[in-house]
Amino acid sequence: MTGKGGSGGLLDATLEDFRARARAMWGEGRALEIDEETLRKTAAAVDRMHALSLETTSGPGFYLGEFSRSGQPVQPEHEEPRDE
Amino acid sequence: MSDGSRLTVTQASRLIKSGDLSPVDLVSGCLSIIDALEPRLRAWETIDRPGAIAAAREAEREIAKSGPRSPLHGIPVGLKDIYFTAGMRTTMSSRIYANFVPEYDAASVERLRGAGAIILGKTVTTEFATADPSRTINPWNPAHTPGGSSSGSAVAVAVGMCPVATGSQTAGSVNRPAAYNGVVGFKPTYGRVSRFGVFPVSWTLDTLGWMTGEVRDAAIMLDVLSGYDSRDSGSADVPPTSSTLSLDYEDPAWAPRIGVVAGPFAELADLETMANLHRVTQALGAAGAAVDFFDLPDSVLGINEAQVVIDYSECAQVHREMFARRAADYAPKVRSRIECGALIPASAYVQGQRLRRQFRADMEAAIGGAFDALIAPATPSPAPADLSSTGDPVFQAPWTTAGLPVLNLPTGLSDLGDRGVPLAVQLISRGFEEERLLRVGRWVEKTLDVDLGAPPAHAA
Repeated sequence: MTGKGGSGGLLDATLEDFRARARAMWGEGRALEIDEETLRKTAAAVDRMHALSLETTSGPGFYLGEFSRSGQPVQPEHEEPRDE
Repeated sequence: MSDGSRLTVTQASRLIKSGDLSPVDLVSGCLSIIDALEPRLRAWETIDRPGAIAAAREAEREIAKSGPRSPLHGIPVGLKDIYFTAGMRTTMSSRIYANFVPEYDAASVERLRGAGAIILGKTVTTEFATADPSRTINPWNPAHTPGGSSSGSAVAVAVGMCPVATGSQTAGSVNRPAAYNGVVGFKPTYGRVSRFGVFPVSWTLDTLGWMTGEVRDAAIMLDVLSGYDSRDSGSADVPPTSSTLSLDYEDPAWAPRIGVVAGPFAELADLETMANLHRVTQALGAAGAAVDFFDLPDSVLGINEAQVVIDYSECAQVHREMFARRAADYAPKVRSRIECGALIPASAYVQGQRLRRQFRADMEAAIGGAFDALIAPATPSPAPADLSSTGDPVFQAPWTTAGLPVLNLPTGLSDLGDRGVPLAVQLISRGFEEERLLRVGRWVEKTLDVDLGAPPAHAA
């Protein structure tokens, strides 16, 4: 539930990348004022998402389909029936 | 005749229908409580005193002539101040929108008015329904957070300023403040209730919900507010619910099958919270429920991080244009969230969207036909003694991210030290199974028979 956020080294690299891009996007002064907890939480979450391994083999589009539209429980890609 | 003080929706509705309570007296009773407590608790952005009284008089006339339109006819409702109300200020508790008056009602407000509900006013939210603490005070202990983002709504219901108030949840903004303030909190399945006309935090996560005094009230609200709306791209094309009816005709011999969520929840909760869960599940088992452990699927790992990348990315886009012009007018935490959200790469966002669907599918399969609902602590601890935060949404975010419905119930008061703040559990079910969830909730409510009494703010 609370992800491990990748290795410590990876998080440090992501954090540095975030700081550099924050300076570029928001300016040096503002980048320094960004709440450190929010920055770390975001970097750890990004690391965690990049460490995921998810099925991508069948049922094209399932993973980005809107799961509320049909009102039916969603099925993962590998269980999705396919028309030949 | 009742004076309408501190009644639930169900109680007030029955009294109105029988002619033993006037909507005018009910609204006046709520306004009296607001007058007494609002200076200390600061739960409201706007109180529409003349509008509410006028609507109550109209409801009284109509009910006398042709009976109530619905169980909400003549019932005063508080609206979180991100719900658009035609002609009434809607501030998002932000200085940027301090004088914003919408020209139309949110879809949910249309439905409430159509059912005869009386809009009492707008309740305080954390700024833009995110993380900067609001000015609202916890009525159980002012040193403890009331939670957020729907802080005003939870406090208003807890002290009887109104019998029901609306909220919205992107991570834990309905269920957490409900738990911290000792009221029932309900968040339906994502897509069940239209969000048209509600200021967004995150389009693919936001779900409307509400706080009430009892479970049946939550069912009444769901039956009025559920239904497809083409104006909300996330709206589910499913029929409205009739959950109140199923509660009223339940089999008295029925007992639910309940799965106890273990794993990360047990690791993150404090001892009193876990002892409370144990006490509750023992009581439910003794009353006839089939109680067993439920193992969360592996896809739960990373689900709260998925919530963060989706929430922050979308929040940054919601505010992109306004933020470019008025960044200095944003509170610190939401400002940092927008600034960090704009830095999240698309690859992480897509992975987050993929994981939430995997988790949803895995949860649907794991609950399957084995359980009517799951039970878990509502929060890692009762309301923390920390006014710099609205508390941790870690126990709500998995269900919100998966779009599953959640109901939380007060179960007692903390007896650690002198904090005296409420304890709570949450119940979770499969998507679009709110009727089953409410049925379980009603059974749990009856079995535990908890009465927290009035918060100390009443006596102060």
